[in-house]
Amino acid sequence: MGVAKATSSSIAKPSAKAVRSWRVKRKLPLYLMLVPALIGLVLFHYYPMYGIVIAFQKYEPLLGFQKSPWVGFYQFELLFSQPDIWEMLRNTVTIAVGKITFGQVASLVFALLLHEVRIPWFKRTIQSLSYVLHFLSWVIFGGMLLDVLASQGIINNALAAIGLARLAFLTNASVFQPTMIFSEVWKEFGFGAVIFLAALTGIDPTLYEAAAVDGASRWKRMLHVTLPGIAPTIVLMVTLSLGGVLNAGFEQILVLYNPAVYATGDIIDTYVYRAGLLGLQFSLGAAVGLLKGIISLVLIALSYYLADRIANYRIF
Amino acid sequence: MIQDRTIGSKVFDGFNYVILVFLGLFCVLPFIHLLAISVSDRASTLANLVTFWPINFTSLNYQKILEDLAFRRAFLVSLVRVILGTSINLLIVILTAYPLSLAEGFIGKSFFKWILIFAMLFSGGLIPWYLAIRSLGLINSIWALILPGMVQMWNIIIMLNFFRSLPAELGEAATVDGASHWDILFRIYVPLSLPALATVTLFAAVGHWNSWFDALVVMRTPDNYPLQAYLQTTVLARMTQNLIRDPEAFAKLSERSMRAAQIIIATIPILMVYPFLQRYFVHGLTLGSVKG
Amino acid sequence: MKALKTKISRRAFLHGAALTTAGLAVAACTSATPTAAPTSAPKPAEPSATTAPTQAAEATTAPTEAVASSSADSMFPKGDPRRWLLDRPVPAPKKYDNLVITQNYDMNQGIKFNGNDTISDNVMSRYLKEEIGVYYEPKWACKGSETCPTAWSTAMAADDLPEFFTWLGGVNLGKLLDADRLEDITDIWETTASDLTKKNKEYPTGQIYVPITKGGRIYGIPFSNGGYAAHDSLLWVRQDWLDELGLKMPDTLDDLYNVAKAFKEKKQLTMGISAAGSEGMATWNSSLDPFFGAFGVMPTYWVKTGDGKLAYGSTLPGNTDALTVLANWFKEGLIEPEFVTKGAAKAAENLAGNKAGMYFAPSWSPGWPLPDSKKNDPKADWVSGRVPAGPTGQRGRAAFQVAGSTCAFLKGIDPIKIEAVINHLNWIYDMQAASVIGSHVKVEGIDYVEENGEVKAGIGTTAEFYEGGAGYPTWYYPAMEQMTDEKMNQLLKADPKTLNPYLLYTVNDPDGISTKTRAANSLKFQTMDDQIVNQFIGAPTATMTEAGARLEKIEREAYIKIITGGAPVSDWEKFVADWKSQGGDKITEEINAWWLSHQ
Repeated sequence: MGVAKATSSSIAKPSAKAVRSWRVKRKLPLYLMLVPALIGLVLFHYYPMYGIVIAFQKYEPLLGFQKSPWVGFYQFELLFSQPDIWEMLRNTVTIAVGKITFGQVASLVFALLLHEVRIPWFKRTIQSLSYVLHFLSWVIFGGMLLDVLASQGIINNALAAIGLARLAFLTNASVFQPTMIFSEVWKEFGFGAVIFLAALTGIDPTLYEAAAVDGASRWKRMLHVTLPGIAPTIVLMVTLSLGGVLNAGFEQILVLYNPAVYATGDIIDTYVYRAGLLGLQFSLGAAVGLLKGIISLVLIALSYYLADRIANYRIF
Repeated sequence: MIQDRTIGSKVFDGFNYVILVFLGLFCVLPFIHLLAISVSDRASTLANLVTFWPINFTSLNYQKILEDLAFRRAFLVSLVRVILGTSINLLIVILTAYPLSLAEGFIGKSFFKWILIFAMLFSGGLIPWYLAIRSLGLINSIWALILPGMVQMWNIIIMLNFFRSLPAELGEAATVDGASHWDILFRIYVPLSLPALATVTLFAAVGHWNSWFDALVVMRTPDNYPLQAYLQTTVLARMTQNLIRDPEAFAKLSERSMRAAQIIIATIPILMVYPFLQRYFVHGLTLGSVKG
Repeated sequence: MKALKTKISRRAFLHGAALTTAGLAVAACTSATPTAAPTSAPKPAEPSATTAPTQAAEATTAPTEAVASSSADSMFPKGDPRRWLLDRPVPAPKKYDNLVITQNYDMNQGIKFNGNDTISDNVMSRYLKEEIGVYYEPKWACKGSETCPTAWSTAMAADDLPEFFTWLGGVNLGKLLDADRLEDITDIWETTASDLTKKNKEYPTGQIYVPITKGGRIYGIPFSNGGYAAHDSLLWVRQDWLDELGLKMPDTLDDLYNVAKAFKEKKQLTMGISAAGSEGMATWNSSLDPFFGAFGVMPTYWVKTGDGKLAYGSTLPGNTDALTVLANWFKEGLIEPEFVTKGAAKAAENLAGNKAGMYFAPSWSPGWPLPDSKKNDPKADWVSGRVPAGPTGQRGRAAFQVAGSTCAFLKGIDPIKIEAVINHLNWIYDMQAASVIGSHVKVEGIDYVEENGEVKAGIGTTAEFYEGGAGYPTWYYPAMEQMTDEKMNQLLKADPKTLNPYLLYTVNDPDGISTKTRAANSLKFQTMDDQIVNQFIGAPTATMTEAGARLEKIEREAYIKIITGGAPVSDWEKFVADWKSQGGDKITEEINAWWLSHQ
C-alpha cells in the first residue's frame, strides 16, 4: 500500500470529476464479467422458477401451469399427514448428517495424510486410486455391496473368521444407517479430498520453512501452519454441505433398501419416488423440493452469519 | 519440503504409507472386481462366481463394444460435451468469481452472491426447465447439454474463495501500474490459481462426463445421447422397485460382463484426465516468491 | 404386482422364446380360434407338445398341405423377411401415398440398430414405407422403463404429443382419456377392421379393450402383452437331483417342503428354494406367489368375492396360512436367506450358479436363465411342474395381466391416418395367421444367418423391430397360440426336406430350449384353472395415487417382517386394520365403482 500511496501523490492531483469517471470506467469490467453468468442464471434458473407454483397446485400435465387447480398448502398437508413422516424425516437427517460429518472428516484426514507424503509417484498413485469409486454409479457399486455385505459375503466371512458375530448389514434396521454412511464415505472420500488437496497446495511453503527454523515438530507444523492454512476451505465446505442436510442419497438407498429396513432406511425422497410412481405426482415432488430449499437456505445463511460473527470469515 | 529425521517422524511416515496403501487398495478392489468380470464369460458372471480373477477369459466384450457404432457415436458426443462444456464453465467461473472475490465493493455485489446461492438451492422443476430450453430452440442439439449448466454455482463459490486467499496487494500494485481488471484477472490471478483451476476443471469435466439425466430429457431421440445416457438406457438402468418388469431387459442386463466392460471403457478416459491436472496438486505453487 | 407391467413382449429369449407359443395346448380357448386360420380344427390337448423334435426329422409321413407349400424359395425370394415363416401368401396390404404419421417410440433397453440405421431410418421404417407407404415419424424416442416415464411426462406437460401413441398405458392413458385428448375411432374401426382383427376383441375374455373403452366407444387399439398367461409361474426342479436322491416331482406343499429340505441337506446348499422378495410376493423369477395360491389368495390382486364385488387380495383370509408356511420355511433356512434384498434379476444368480434346485418362474425359463445353469453344471436337467397344492388341494398362481399397453390417436388427427393404421394392423394379423411359428417377419442376416443351408441364430435385432422392441406398434395376435400349436405339430411331422432352414433349426432344437419351453407351456395351458386373476385393469384411482405409496409400504413391511420372523403372524391382522383405515377402504369403494362401470 505504501507504494500505491507514493505513486498517486507523485502525480498531479486529478479533479474530483476525473476521479469519479476513472472509478466508473475502472469498475465497468467487473459488471461486464458478471454478464455471462447473469444471462445463464436468468435463462436457465430464474425464468423456470415459476414452476415452483405447482407446489401449491394439483398439477395436471395436460392442463399445464395456468389451468391446474390451486390447492394451497394441500401438498404439504398430504406430506405431513403421512403417519410415518417424522420417522422418514429423522432417517433423512440422520443419514445425511452422518454422511456430511464422516465424509468431510475422512476427506480431510486423507488429504492431510497424503500431504505428508514426500514421494510424488506414490502420492499420485494413491490419490488416483482413491477416487476411482466416484465414477461407479450406485447401481453398480450397490450391486457389489449386496454381494459383499450378504450374510455369506466377504465381510461377514471375515467377521466370522475373527470370531465376531455375522451382521445383517442390509436387513437389520439398526445397522442399516451406519451401513449407508460408511458405504457413501467409502465411495466418495477420495473425490472429496481433491478440494482439500488443492487448498493444501496453496499454502505458502515459506511458512513451513519458518516453522521448521523455529523448531516446530511435524505435528506442530500441521496444527499451526497446515490447519490454519486450509481453515477457510474447511469452513466453506461445511457451510456448503449444509445445503444437503435433507439429501440422504436417494439412489444409494433406492438400490440398497428393502422392506425389512423401512423403519430406519426410508427417506423423504424414496417416499416421493414411490408416491410419484403411482400417479405422476409432480406437485408433491415440487413441494418437497421447495421445503428442502428453504431449510437449506436458512442453514447456509445461518452458518454464513456465524462464521462471519465468530471467526470473522467471510466464506463467500 | 522440509526434511525431518526424528524417530517419531519416521514411525509416522511408516504408518502413513501403510494406511494410504491400504486405503488405495480398499478403493480399487471393486474396480478390479469389475475388470475381472469384464473379461469373464457370461455363465460364470451370471452365476456370480467371479471375484478378482477372471474365469474363462474372453476379450469378446471389449471387441463387441468397440465395434458398436452407437457406443462410438455416444462416446464422441460425450467428448464434445466435455471439451465445450468445461471450457465454457471454466470461463464463466473465472469471470464471475473474480469480481465477487474482490474486497473492492460495487453496487449489487452481495446481492449477486445470494442470487448464486439461491439458484443453487431452488429450482422450478423439470418441466419449466425443459420449456425454457425448448423456447430457445436448443432441443436435440449439443448446446442443450452445455448451456443450461453453464453457470456452476458451486464451482464459482470455490473459485471465489481461492481468489480471495490471494494477497490483495497484488491487485493493488497492478492497479497503480495502470492495469485494468481484465489484466489483473488474466495476468495475475489466473496464473496464480492453477491448483484451484485444476480442481474446478476436474469437477466440471467429471460433471459433464457423468451426467445423463439431462440428455434423456432434452434429446428427443437416443441417437444424440452422450455416453452415460447411452449406458443408462442400455445396460445400467435401475434394477429396483416397481419400475422395471421387462424380463427381456433383465436378460440383457444380466450380461454382467458386457456391462462391466462398458463401465470400464467409459471410466478410463475421465480417469486419464486427472493425472494431467494432478501435477498442480503434487508440486504446488510458490506463492511466497510472488509475495516476497 | 405383475399386473402393473405395461410393456412385456416375448420376443426375447431369442429363439427359445420365439418358439414358446408353438407348443401351447388348445384346451384353454378353442372358441377364440380365428376362422381364417388354415387349420382351425382344434385338437384336444394331446402331449404333442412334448414330442421330441428329433422324431419329427425322422418322420416320413406326408406333410400337411400348409407346410408342404412353405417351400420358401417358390413363394418368397431369399432375403425376403417373410421367407421363413409364412406358409401361404397373404393379401397385399392397402398401400398409401407417402403418409407420414408422428409417433412416440418407447424402445426396449436392449435395442440396437444395425450399421448406420437410426430410429428415423432403419430396416423396419424402410420396409413399412415400401409395403404400406406409411412412415411413422418419431415425435420422440425413449429407451427402457427408466427413461420413458420422463419422456412421457415432459411430452404431456409441454404438449409435445404425437399423432399416434404407442405403448400407452396406466396413468398416461387415464389422463389422456380424462382430458379428452384421444380420438374416438369406433366408426373407422367398424368399417376398416378385418374380421380377423375384430376377433381380437373377444380374446381371451373380452378384457383387453376395457381400458380404452369409454361410454361404449373405442379410443385405441390394445396390445396384448406378449400373449396369454405369458409370465405365469410354474415350478422348476432339478430332475437329476430328484433322481439322485430318489425323490419325485413335488405335487403338494408338503412334498415341496420335503424336496427343499432334502436338496438343502444332501446337496449342501444354502437354500431349499430360490426366492426373490424385494419386488413383492409375485414376480417373474423365483416368485413366491404359488405359496399364497396354495391357500387361494393372491396379495395385491383385486379379486372377485362371493358377493360379486372386488376385494384386495392381501386382506383376505388365507394370507395368514401362507405366511405361516413361509415363516416356517425361512426359519428352517429353506428359503433363500437373502431373498429380502434380492429382486427377480438378482435371484437368477442362484440358478445360474446352481445354488438352488427349485424355483417358481414362467415357462420361458429354459431360454433364460437356465442355459447358464447348464453351462456351469452340465448335468443340470431342469423340468417344469404344476404349482403345488395346499392342504385343501387348492392351487393358485398370479395370472399375468393380458390387457397391457395400447395404441391411440391424438384428437383431431386426419382420419385417413387412423384408417392406415388399422389397415396396417389387418395386414399384420393376416401375416400372423399365415405364420408357421406365430411370429412376425424376420430378416436374414440379422435375426438368423443362412449358410450352406444351415441356419444359425443371428444377432436377433430385427425381431425387436417387428415385434415392438424398437417402439413400433406391435399387435400380437392373442389367439395365435392355438394356431401355432397346430402348425408345430405339422412341422414335427413334416419331411425335413420341405422345411426351410430356419424351420429346420426350430424343429431340431439343438439346445433343447424349445422342447422344454413347449412342455412347460403345454402344462401351463392345461392348468389355467390355477390362475388367480387381477380384475382391476384401470388407471390408479384418486386415493390410490395419494395413499398408495404408504399402503404399499406397510404391506411390504408387514409381509417381510412376518416371513423373516421379525413379527408374529398375528401382526397381519394389524396390517389389514391399518390398510383399511389409512385409505384402503376408500380405494376399495373406488375400485368397485370402476368395476361396476366396466361390467
